[in-house]
Amino acid sequence: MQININKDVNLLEFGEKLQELAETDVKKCYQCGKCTAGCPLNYLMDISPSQVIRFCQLGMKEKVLNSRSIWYCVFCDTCSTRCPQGVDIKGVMDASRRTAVRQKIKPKADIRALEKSFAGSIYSFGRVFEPGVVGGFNLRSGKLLHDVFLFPLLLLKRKICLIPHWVRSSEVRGVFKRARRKERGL
Amino acid sequence: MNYAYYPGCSLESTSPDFHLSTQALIDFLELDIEEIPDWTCCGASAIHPDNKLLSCSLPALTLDAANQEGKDIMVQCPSCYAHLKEARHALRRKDQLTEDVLEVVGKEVESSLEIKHFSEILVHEIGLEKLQEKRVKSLEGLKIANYYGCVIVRPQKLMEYDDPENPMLMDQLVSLTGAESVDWPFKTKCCGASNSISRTDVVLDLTYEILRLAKQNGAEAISVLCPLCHINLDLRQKAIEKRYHEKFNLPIFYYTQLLGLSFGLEPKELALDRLFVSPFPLLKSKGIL
Ligand code: SF4
Ligand code: SF4
Repeated sequence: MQININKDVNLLEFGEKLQELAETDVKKCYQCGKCTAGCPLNYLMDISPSQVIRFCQLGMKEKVLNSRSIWYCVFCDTCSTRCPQGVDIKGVMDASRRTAVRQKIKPKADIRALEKSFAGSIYSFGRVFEPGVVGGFNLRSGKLLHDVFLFPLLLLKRKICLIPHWVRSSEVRGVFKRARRKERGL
Repeated sequence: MNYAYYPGCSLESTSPDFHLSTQALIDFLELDIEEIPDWTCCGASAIHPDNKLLSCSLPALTLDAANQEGKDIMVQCPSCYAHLKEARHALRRKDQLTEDVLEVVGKEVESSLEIKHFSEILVHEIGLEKLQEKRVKSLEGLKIANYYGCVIVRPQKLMEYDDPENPMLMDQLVSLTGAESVDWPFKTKCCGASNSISRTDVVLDLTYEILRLAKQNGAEAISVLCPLCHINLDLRQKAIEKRYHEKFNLPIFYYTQLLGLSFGLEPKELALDRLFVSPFPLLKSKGIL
């Protein structure tokens, strides 16, 4: 891949910031490619895990934050476990994704819709209410019939509960509110 | 031994088989382990990518609940295990994050308690010898691939469970039953995890490889310790077979079910009837049932 380093990018500044967030030193990476070789999701990524690290070293923020890769990573930690230089690649993926969320960059995968449905369920009930999560996801992602054929199967095996449990939900809601306020720096 | 059991949302809803077989073992072994009353969700994988502070604060509520009872925590779900350990780590750091978590939770939370996976308690605290004495039935002839998934073993520094690439805890427990643990390379390969709902195709791709490798190495069934891995391999096995035009018919057991069988517990108590890929033909052909 040919890379044109845009003169406008503030070299390294982005990498430094991410490093701080991910608590790892991307400068140690010597591009051996081991992280990419073991990544189970690499086959769907537009830039490989080792390229993500390289772009961070170069401070090329747009490349990383606009990549599909940060949304496809499942945080399995295979990369960080195997990196001979001790770089926490997963941590960088995680920090990049959180940065992208904060900068309101449009997610490149439906995983965000799912995360929001999960969070909504925990916020409302204090526990996960699965039918609500899948339903919420289907609405948010527009895949209305997604997985609905599984419902009868799950019911048959009594593996789904149709009534949510409410557990200490006001306490949980308080935690949500305070944490969100704090993350926004208020 | 002074543990409080934190089942977590998966065991309560989509994985009652794991919950019931765990409870059956607790009763059979007469362990003094009771469920934490009014436990709340650990935040699952949904919160973490969004809000680190929140993802450490939600499990801190559970740490606090166990502290109130003066107990350590026993977990079965690797994802809960990971989130609880992450929260404990955040509390132990004694830095800004610690202060923020305490402020969000709104009370002082002790971080000295132990967080153990049930398999750790079985192997390290009860001990293999003692468990061996309880065996009344041998599962000899059954070939099992032990599949740990990625969450429980990594990052090793935080999880402190077992080797991150070649864990042996479940192998030891399964060997105890008389079944044979096959040697195979995908013990800790990722199954696609929560992409299960948002990108089902990804999960089918990854789990196909897991089933294929298990079978190729002679396994007749797989043993798991994660409810999400279980859903992806068991509930979705039909879809995997359809996508790849290949029949597997590999029953996916929870390790607690295999142990329970060797202790002579009833299939019903172990919720074997609630697996999607029926294990009964295999168990009958081996003379186990
Ligand atoms: S494994 Fe480590 S050193 Fe090798 S390319 Fe990946 S980040 Fe760089
Ligand atoms: S943590 Fe993400 S980048 Fe690393 S191996 Fe897993 S999926 Fe790939």
